Amino acid sequence: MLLSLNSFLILGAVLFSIGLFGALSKRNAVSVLMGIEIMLNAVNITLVAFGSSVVNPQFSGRLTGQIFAVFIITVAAAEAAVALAMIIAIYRQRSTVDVGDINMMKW
Amino acid sequence: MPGLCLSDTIDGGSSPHGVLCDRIPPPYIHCRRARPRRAPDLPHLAWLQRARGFCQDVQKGICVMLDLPSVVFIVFAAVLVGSALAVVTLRNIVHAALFLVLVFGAAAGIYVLLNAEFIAIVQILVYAGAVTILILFAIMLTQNPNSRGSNPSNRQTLIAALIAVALCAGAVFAFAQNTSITTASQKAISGPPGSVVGIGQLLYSPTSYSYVLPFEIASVVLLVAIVGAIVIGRED
Repeated sequence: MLLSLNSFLILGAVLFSIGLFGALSKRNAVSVLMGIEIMLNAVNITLVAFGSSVVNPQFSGRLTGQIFAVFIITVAAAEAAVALAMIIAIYRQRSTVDVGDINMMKW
Repeated sequence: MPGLCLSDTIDGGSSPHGVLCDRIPPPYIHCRRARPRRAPDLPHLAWLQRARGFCQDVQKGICVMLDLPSVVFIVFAAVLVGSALAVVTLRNIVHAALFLVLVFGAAAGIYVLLNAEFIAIVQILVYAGAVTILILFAIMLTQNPNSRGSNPSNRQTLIAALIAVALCAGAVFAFAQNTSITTASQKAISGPPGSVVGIGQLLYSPTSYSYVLPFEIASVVLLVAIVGAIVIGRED
């Protein structure tokens, strides 16, 4: 059967791998952030799929995955706001967003 | 749902022999090695009974269930993976950010398939609406004069691809190996829709089994993030 838990888990794994590739292989800091957003989406899909696959109807265990997804979306929005503010601040100081050139905290 | 109730009775190609099926109008069944015959004029439920009889009797051919949710899942999954690949491979970062909208929209479709309508709406609002606009603003504010090669790859592309492929293969292999997951996933993912009330009760109700405290902490996290973003991005 196609529309089972495994299909969604495999979709989440593939999407996570694509996001990881983007986050590891890009120079632009905004592009790295986009890869991280794709990874967070993959984790959300996995959580909601696990929550929807709960067959026991007791105590709305089905909704726990969705609650976790809500919190992940919240934290991802906060993370995106802070990260983009940092990128803009760094660009104002150094006129680059290349993560290879941003080495102020390296020693 | 007629497509889902049929899928419990018909072996979806997992047995070595497989089964033979006719072609039934609402839940589409593709038959390989068995010539699809025309459906006679029977009522729908009687048709399901006949198909069930066919599939249990004849031991030739392979049935592949393709009901409507499966087709929708295939379409959304293809759009999701394809646009995610476009995000990580395109050379122009503005195009990559626009494909990110497609990724978020297709993920919202996947949530709808999983009976998580509230998450789908929040996904559209927060991700496709707010986060993408933030990313586009950041791209515009940090744009070089030439945006053609604005999304270059670094020297680790090959090893990053190796790591990603290894992770993907390992995860898929683990899902194939884990019998508890596969046995639990034989049942189709379905459930009563309309979970917004349940989510609201879980988030806000002051009982012992709710998420009031994480919700408040999340609001504090958002407040700190807003203040931090203003302080970090301030021009001084």
